[in-house]
Amino acid sequence: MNGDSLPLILPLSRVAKKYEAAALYAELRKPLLRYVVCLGLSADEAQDVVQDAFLSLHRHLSAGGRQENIRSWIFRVAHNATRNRQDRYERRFAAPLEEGLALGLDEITPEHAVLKKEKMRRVEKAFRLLSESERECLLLRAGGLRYREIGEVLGLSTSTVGDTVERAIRKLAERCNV
Amino acid sequence: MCEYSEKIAAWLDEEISIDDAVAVEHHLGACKECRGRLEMYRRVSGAFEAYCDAYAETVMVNKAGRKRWRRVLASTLAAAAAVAAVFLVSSLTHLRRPIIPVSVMTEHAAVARPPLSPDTLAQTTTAPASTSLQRDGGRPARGKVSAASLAQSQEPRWSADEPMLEIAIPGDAIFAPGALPEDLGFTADVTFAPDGWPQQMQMRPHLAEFERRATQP
Repeated sequence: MNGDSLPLILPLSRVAKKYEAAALYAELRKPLLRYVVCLGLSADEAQDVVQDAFLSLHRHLSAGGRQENIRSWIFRVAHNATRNRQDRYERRFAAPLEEGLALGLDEITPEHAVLKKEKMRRVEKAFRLLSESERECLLLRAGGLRYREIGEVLGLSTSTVGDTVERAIRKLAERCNV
Repeated sequence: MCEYSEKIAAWLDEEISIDDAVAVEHHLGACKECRGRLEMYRRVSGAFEAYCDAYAETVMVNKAGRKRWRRVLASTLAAAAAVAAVFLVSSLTHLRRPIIPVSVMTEHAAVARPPLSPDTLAQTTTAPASTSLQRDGGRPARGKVSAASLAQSQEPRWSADEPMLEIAIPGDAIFAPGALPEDLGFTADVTFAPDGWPQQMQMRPHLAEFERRATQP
C-alpha cells in the first residue's frame, strides 16, 4: 500500500473533512491565485502563498478550528501573506503598463484582438488610479467573495465595503468607458 | 443615492430574506436609477473580471513558457552533446582508419528486425533506402521486411572477434521531452575491431526501462 491510499477504515467525520478540504481546494485555488497575482506576486510566489494558505487551512481545520467563513478565512491568510511582501505590491502598481496581456485564443479576427487589448489597457490604467482599499475590494469581489466576506478579509464593515465597491465601479466606468 | 443601494448589494449576494428580496426586485422594476447602477455594476465587473483573468494568465503563462523553453534548451544541449560525442568517436577512429562505416539505422529497418540475437546484429552500412524493393529469395519483398532481410543478407555476421558495446541512450537525451513515448529510448551498438578501435556504430530504437536519474523530487 502506498502512502497516498486511504486506510481501509476511516471515521466518517474524517472522510467528510477530507472531502471538504478537497472541494475547497478545487473551488478556491484558482480565485486565490488570481487574487494574489493581481496584487503583484510573481507566478512562483503566488503558488507558494496559495500553497501555504491551504496548509494553514488544513492545520486550522485539523485543530478543530471554526468552520464558518472558511472562504474569507483563507483569503485573509493569502491577503496578509501578500501584503507582507510590500515591495511586490508597490512594484505592481508603479511598474509601466504591461504590454502584452494574454488574450486567449478565442479572438476571431485581429481587429477583435486589438479592440480587446485596448480595452484591457484602459481597465488596467483606471485600476491603477484607484485607492488601495478600492483595488482590494474590487479584486476580492472579482474573486467571488460576498460583501460581508470582503469585510472579514480586510477588517471593514459590510456597508463600508459596499460603498467602496460602488465607488470603485463608478470610477472604472467613468475612466475606461466600459 | 437611493436608500435601496445597500439592500441591492445584499440582494446580489443572496444574503437577504425572501420578503426583502421581493421588495428589492419590485423596487428595481420601478427605480430607473437603481436599475442603471445595477446594469453598470454588472457591465464593469464583467470587464474587470476579464481583465483580472488576462492579467493573471499573462503572469502565469509567461512563467510556464519560460520553464518549457528552458527544458527544450536543456534537451537540445544534451542532444548536441550526444551528437558531438558520436562525431568525436568517429573522427578519432577516422584518423587511424580512413574507411569506417558509421551508420545510423533507419527506424523502419530497426523496428522490423527480429529480437536481438547475434545473427541479427547486422549493420546497415551500405544499403540506401531506395534498395528496399529488392528481391529476396526469389520473392518480391517489400517495405519493412525487405529492409530487415536485406540488412541481414548483405552485412557481415557477428563474430567473436568483434566485441560489441551496447550504449543505452534515453529518448529525451536526444529529442525534446514529449516528442517520443516515455519508455522509448535508443541503443547504440558499437563494434570494435580486434585491435581495439571502434569499427561500426548503429543506433536502434529500444523499448526499455532505463535506470533514469531522478529528475524531480
